[in-house]
Amino acid sequence: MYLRIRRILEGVFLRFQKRVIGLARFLRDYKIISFSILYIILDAVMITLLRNIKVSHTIGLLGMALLCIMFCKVGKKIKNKKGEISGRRGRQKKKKEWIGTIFELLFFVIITTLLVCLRITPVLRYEEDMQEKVLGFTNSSTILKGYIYDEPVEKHRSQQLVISVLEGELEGEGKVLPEGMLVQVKTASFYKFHLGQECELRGTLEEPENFEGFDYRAYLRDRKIFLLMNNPVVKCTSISERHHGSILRHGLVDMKNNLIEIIEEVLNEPQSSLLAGIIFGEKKLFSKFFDEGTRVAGLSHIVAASGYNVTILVVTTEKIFFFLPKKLRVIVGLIVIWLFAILSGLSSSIVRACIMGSISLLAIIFGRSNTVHVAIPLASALFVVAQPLIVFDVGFLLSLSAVLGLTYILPILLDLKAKVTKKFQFVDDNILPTLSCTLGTLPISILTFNTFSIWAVPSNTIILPIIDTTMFLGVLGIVAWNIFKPLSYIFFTITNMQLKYFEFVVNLIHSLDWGQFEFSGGASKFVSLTFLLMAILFIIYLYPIENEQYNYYLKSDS
Amino acid sequence: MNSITTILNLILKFLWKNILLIIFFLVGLFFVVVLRKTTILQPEIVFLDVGQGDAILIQQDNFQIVIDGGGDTSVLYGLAKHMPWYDKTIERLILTHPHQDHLEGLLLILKKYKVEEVWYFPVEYEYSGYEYLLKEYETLLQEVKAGDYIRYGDLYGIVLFPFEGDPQRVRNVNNASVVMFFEIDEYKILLMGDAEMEVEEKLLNYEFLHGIDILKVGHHCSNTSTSEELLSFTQPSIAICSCGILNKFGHPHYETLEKLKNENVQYLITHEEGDMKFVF
Repeated sequence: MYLRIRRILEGVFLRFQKRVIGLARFLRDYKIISFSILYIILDAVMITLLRNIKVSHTIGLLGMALLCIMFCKVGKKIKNKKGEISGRRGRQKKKKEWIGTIFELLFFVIITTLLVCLRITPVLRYEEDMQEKVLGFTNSSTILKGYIYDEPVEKHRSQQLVISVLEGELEGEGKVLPEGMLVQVKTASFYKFHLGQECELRGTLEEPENFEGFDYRAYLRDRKIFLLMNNPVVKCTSISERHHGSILRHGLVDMKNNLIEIIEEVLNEPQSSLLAGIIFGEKKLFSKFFDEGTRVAGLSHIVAASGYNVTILVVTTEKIFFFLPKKLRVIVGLIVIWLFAILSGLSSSIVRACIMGSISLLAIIFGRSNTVHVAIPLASALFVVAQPLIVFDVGFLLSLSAVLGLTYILPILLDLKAKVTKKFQFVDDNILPTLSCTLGTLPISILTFNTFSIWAVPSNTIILPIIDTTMFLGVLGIVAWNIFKPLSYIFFTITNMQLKYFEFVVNLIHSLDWGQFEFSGGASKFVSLTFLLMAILFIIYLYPIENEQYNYYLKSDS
Repeated sequence: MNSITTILNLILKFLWKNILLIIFFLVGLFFVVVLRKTTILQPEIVFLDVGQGDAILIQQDNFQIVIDGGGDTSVLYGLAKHMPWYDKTIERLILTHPHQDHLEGLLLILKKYKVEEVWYFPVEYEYSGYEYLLKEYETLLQEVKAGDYIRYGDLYGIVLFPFEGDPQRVRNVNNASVVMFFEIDEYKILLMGDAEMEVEEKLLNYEFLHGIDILKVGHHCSNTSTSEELLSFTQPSIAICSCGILNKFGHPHYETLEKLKNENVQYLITHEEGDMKFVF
């Protein structure tokens, strides 16, 4: 018995070792993948480091690290020479190869670090600059003129605006606010605001404060907001006089809002907000009870701009145009998702999701399975280059981890299921993708929300099958609204029923009042890290590889 | 022949692939045809649980009257729950007085629903929401006074207070509340807004207020409202206190609840009962 267990364990270990080495070889060959992953990780590390340690210290540390490496290199070279003199050429050669690899790796890391530093320095300098400037503006009466920079966010007792300052002055002190500075404003929820509208605000500027263990300052800082203004007196110009910001974006957002108004005109709450969320990824306000319910049921991702709707679009176009050849279908899919991105006002999260979606579609066109392994890290790295602070954006991390879940966990689950039975196509189509997405996002959601709900998988399994038709019919309903209203009502009636079912599931799970576990801050970090490590290990061990015995990277002598 | 079979096969395949969609479509069609005609035939009144504030929905068929909107978004969810899903029009929106806990939600209703008319009594009061209402929704506003009425189906509602010529500048805005009396299918309902004892005195001349069925107690059951005289005069069967849990004013006040108990009036509090619906 003991021997058997030992043999099994040895087998597991050997397979694992082989795969880790294979992965290392693969990463060594595909430098673009390793570079992308490294860039993303170092971006997060360096930003955290540079924010907490003074710049001079970091430069000093980096310098010292460089010196250490140089000394090591010199030391090794001397050692190698000694080795050569004493003979035993074969072993020395292997050792030399290893040292070479390590140096290559270190060189790679240093170069990436330098690139990361070059990119993030201006961002951090701006942050530091603003933080210094902000100190002089707080707690005194201010009049500022600015334009609405971002779409207003509805809250239960108020709404939040982000204003980009055009001109502003502290009353009596003559201090001038820097132009282009962003200020987050809390105001009564009944006002109607539009993107780009110019407003004059009179109130007191305040610095954000952290609350209930949530680092609100850091959260706002990542959005380049350093000042708040609560309940100011607001006077805005009429909507027709919008001269600030991108006109294209205003037009698109207005169009999206008009379409959402159609939904609101036909459907009631929470159905209207749910549909707006599913179609446009628009984060609308639910009642507190329902909002908590969606979280407990693990269904918030459906209604938030998590890029989930892009995935649905791809799947739905695949279903509808199943008779077209594969490549043509992909092209139709691409057109549809980009039309959708435009319809949803080109909001950054949707654009991100569309880029990710396009990559996976293009991977199908090019038909090389490796393309997707390159495309995901490369695209993510490009996002990080464009916006270095994106690595702290929960939405980005969630959509990335969902894509990773679909790419790396889904094949494992499909493989395992195929070994058990080939029947029940429904499981392959619905349950397993949900499960892999949920598992993929688990570490991030535990880390961010400090909760873990056991309902996520069952509730998604019974909800997701209806969502694509909901979205499809919702869009048809909107289109039909301006052409023939009775037809539109037919579509919306079906959508309404499906969303009532959604509401029923959420309320049912919420009323059970069981199954959600909360972690404290420290514990959530530990649990999330454990999940992440376990996921990585499982993926390495179980990821199905075609013709494994002939795989170049897994051959023992390659 | 061959091509026809191929096309038929394709169609069958398409139908099979979208079977779920088709089922939903057919069921939806059924609902549209059969249930679209269903309306709320019987009149009903719903006292919505909107936290600390007032919001009352009275409806029959597709005719809705909403009195006040509470102080936050809760009213929107309440209306959504009780109104037919396809009906997004509110025929009459009545603002009793411009305090935040009555007006803010009402402004949100104006933002989200199509409203035909807003009834209000023009008092002088400084609140940004009130200014916004007067400026933005000027065309919908309709000034009311005692004697103005609404009639629809079995619903009959009349304004009892303020009287014509009452001053617009008042020390206490609560005492400029629009007080309404409804008679729905022989049931009598008195909605006091936030009116206090000072106003209650003036109502004691209305003979038809004897033996009312439902009293929406004034000012969230505060001790400034609901005099013993009013209770013994109106002799309500049920009293409704519309207030939020653990509110900073301490509503409902103990004294008021005691008075209701002494007069043998059954009282219901929104934060305990949730939305309260009476169908007539």
